[in-house]
Amino acid sequence: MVQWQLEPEDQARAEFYALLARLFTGAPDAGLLAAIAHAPPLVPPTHTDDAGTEPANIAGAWDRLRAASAAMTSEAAADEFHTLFVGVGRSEISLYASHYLGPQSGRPLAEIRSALAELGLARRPGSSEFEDHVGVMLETMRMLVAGDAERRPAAIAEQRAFFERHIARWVFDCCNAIERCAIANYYARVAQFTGCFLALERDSLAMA
Amino acid sequence: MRNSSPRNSLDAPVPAQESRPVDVKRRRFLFTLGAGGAGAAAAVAGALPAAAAAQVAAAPTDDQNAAYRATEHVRDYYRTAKL
Repeated sequence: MVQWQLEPEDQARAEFYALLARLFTGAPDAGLLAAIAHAPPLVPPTHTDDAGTEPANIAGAWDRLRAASAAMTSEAAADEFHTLFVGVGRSEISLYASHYLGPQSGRPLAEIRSALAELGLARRPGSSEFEDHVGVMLETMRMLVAGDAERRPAAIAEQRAFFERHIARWVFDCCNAIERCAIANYYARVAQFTGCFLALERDSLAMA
Repeated sequence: MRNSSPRNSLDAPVPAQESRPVDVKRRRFLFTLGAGGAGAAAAVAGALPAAAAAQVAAAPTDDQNAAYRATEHVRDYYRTAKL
């Protein structure tokens, strides 16, 4: 696998996107839970003008996700994932852009398909998800940030365009819905961290 | 020149934006994740599936996968959202 040389920030962005894509695609196994539980904390910013911003919030959200990962079993995580996200028309929470954007926002699924096609990407054969699933969007961001065997890392402007068009318009509603869901436990922490991470992304991409 | 990287080798992409002041601000903003993050994300990366298991991949050139198998996966939300 080709590894482009990335700045530490961009390497970490790619890895967090990969982690979140994985967590929203299926419940974590025991190895992933342990890896999160034993991961080091994030260091809050020391710049006083950053206090109260997303960089400050995300460290706490990461701590809560690490603690939840230490307490969670893979069996309980699988049960929760299934209850929250799986089931035709019966899941508690939708992970699809189409659900949040609705018909008045155009056709999110068609838009994401054409955006992926322009990027030279397609759903992997055998993947059972529609392209407007949050996991597909997060995985696409990972590929834009990190590059792969066939492409260089995308310019920030391209990352920002994809993020603002296909992620920012709905993903925070999705995260809030998970956090508010009475039966969400582990995934409430996942959603909280996701919301903090993507807010940091939104704000940092807006600066560039 | 303000470009922080003296290298210009083929295997080290140096984005053109890197030398702009706004990116200093952006990088400081992201410090929590990266240089200040002490490898928090890297610590979990090893437990993640290889790229081969990811949901999306480079599109095949013959375009045969453009015919997605929607009928297998039709969900109520999708039907209502499309109409």
